[in-house]
Amino acid sequence: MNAQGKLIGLVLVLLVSMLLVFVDSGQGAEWASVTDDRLLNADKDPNNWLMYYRTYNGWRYSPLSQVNRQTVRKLVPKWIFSFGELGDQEATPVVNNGIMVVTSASPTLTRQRVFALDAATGELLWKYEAKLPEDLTAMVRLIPQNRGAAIYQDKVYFGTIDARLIALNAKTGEVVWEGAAADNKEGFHISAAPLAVKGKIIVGISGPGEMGQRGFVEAFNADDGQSLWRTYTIPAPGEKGNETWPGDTWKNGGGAVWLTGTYDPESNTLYFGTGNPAPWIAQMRQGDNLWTNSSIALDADTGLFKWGHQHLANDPWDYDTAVEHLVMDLRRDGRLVKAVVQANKLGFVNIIDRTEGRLVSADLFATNVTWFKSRDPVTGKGIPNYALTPQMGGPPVEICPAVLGATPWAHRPYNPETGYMYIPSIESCMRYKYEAELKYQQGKMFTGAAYELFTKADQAGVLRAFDVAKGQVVWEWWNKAPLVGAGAITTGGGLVFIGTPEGKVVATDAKTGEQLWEFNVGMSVSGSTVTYSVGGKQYVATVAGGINRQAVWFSKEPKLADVARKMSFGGAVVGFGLAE
Amino acid sequence: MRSFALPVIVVCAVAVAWGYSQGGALPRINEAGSLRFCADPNNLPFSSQDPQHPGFEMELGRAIARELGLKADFVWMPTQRGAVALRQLVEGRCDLFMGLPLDKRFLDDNPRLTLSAPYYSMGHVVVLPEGTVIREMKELRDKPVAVEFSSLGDIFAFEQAYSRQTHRSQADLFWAVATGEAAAAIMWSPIAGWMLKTNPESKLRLMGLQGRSLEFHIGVGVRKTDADLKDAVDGVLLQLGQRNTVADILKRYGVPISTQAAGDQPAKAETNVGESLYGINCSPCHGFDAKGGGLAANLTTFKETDDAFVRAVLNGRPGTPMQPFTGLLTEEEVRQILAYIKGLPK
Repeated sequence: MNAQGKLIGLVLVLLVSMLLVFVDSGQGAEWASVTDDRLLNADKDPNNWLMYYRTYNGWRYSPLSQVNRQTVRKLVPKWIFSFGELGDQEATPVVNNGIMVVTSASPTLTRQRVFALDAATGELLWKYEAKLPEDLTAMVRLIPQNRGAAIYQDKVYFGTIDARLIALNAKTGEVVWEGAAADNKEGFHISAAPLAVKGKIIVGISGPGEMGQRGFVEAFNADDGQSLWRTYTIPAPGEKGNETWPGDTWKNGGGAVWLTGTYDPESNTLYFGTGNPAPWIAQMRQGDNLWTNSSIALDADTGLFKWGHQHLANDPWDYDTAVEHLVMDLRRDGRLVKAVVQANKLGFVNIIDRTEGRLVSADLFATNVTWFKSRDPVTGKGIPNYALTPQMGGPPVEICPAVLGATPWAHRPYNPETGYMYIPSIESCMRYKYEAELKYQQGKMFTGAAYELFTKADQAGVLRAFDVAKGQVVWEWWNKAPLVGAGAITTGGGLVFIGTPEGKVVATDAKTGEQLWEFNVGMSVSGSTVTYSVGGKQYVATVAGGINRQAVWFSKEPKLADVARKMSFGGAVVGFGLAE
Repeated sequence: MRSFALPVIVVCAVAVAWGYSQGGALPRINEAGSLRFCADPNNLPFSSQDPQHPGFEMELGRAIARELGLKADFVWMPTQRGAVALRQLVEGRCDLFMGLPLDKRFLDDNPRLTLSAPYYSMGHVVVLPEGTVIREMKELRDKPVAVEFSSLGDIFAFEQAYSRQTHRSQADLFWAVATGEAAAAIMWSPIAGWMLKTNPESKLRLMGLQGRSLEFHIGVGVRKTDADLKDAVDGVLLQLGQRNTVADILKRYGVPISTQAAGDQPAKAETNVGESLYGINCSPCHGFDAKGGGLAANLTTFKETDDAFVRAVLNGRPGTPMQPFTGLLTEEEVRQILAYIKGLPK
């Protein structure tokens, strides 16, 4: 909105902060330009995984079926590529014409890397290393993760934890341009993979919900990095919704945009989930706090706000709903609904009419959910029990789910053949309290809450299949550790793949939930799996490694202490294929 | 009341050359069956000839001797003149000298001495009337602050431009606040703690005070040539520390374990800061009780030094979920967290 024509410090091929390694690319894989046409028709291109969710609708569904319910037993590791890092890896790779582009994060806080690999052999084609400044602000020091890169035409785009956006030459890994998307000193960073839409690179900003800034989505020109528009998640004075913030609290109100958006080409609309308000202490920002914890729709060309729907007003519990919105047309009560569907921390699957932002239905998918006291008789939406808000400096309250929510940031794929959405979820509770006082300080944590996680169930992790048309859970696959970060995918072979904090990659039957295959990669998995085909052979690749820090939060829970103790460290992509 | 003499912080020059050389000290000491300490006969809470209250240095000395299977003997020597007192050790009239500062200037000036590992930190505290709401030193600007003339507390107050009210002894400072003559006093933490314990009717409280050169790690003085004795003492101190023997002894004399958690009733605001910082930064993994579980360490039983704790928090532990908190927390904030953890049940 305000950033029209702002040149974001674009610097051509600045060698100061980069390190470039050239490796002979060998034969075979050659870069094919990623055109608008290819992205818009990605659903008809089974061999590639061209963007974060594979397709604009956010389904994470690949039609490939060589690896299927029958053959998956013969799935074996074909190659392993090590990042040389020990921190949490949360990336989703993209694959174009046999070339995989994947990012890594480093707990040393000194670097972020981008690798181009031969997707059939795991061989390195090129590597780029972004150097990071020493004076990073608080939040990113704890979560220096990166979720992946976007590819568009002949460039690779990724964000850094000091809030830069960098464009690389996809064939060589050389910097084409780079610029600051926002100021890290204010607490902003980029963790989400960008989304390429019609010549624009769309970026959601991370940090505000914990650092006390104002969240936003921004579009940059893919050619030169110039800012085209920026839309804040929190309205300024004079804009509708600003009245839901007392005084100047809107300036530090949070509403981060943690995850990549989805896109509906028909209406040219982008959909995002927004994060929790800041600080976490609800009494410090009395009011609904729009548009935190909301679904929002923006015009892709101008960034203009089309509609918003808030899932939880004046959030006291860090239940941010910054999840992806799956674009689909579905039948509900005999009527066709042009919908976006999302499942979030609150434990509900929400079906929203995407043309106007009206909530059609909210169906509960989780078991341990105590934050609401009753439900809206029409939509089923939970009506919060604000009596469970802690007092500042008072004793902890017990509430479920915990801050990680009923489903966190592990993505929820949709398989059009089964009609099921697969929800990596967590059954957990927390003891949650507010500190007696909190003041905003730029660059410092602005949360003000402390918490301890526990679980009532014997296991904390569960993958659930949710029948979107019927609005109910149809099967569950249980796992000891919470399914925190590892994104699931589903395929035309009738499979769902997911990684676990214990270090396993698992395939289940998409229809029944029966576990058909697993492989122990030897390190906690917090990254995503993708599937693609090279030379007529289907591959499955998983970003593994890290300590799955959030799973460690459960180590106080006696039922899970042993699982936590066995978690081990690493950082790699593991490529699987069928045994020959 | 008699004025307090500090365990020899005073810089002394030792002239006479002496010392038992080769062969080490332990065979000789074992043969004698006793470990000899040089100590002041009248310097509570540090040391005293009074069998009811022998002083924490003497109680700790006894504990060290007991661990080594020896009897403790005391060579009484007033310490007002530090150089003379230290000469007793250098010249071999005793084997150990309790309560010396691990300070480079002190060690440089006493090249024949070495020190054991530190067993506590002696710092400064602010003594205040019980009912005052003062939370930080800087709230005392423009109010009369009692200090001992030409002491470290005096230098601190002078440099920080407080309104100094000078007195001749540490004890006078305490009574200056108790009688309302001064708004507050800057005192050595063990002396303030002991006076508060023995004079509960004074209705005073202690508040932690941090500042450059206000705190010293305190160890046991040993002749440099007695390296085997030093190693033995280090080993015993480690064990006594782990069994909380040192902390228990200090507590009996009201000595604040560190200046951040001064006295039995630490300044409330200070503790709250540590608690709040702990809650936001540490509790997700280590729990509200700091006892950890799974991959998270039990912080209440942290066995290394305060400095090691600070390093572990600021630098993290690579290859574990413990990430570096540099940039999130300052060293001072980590010490506030540590003070809070030390007050939690183990």
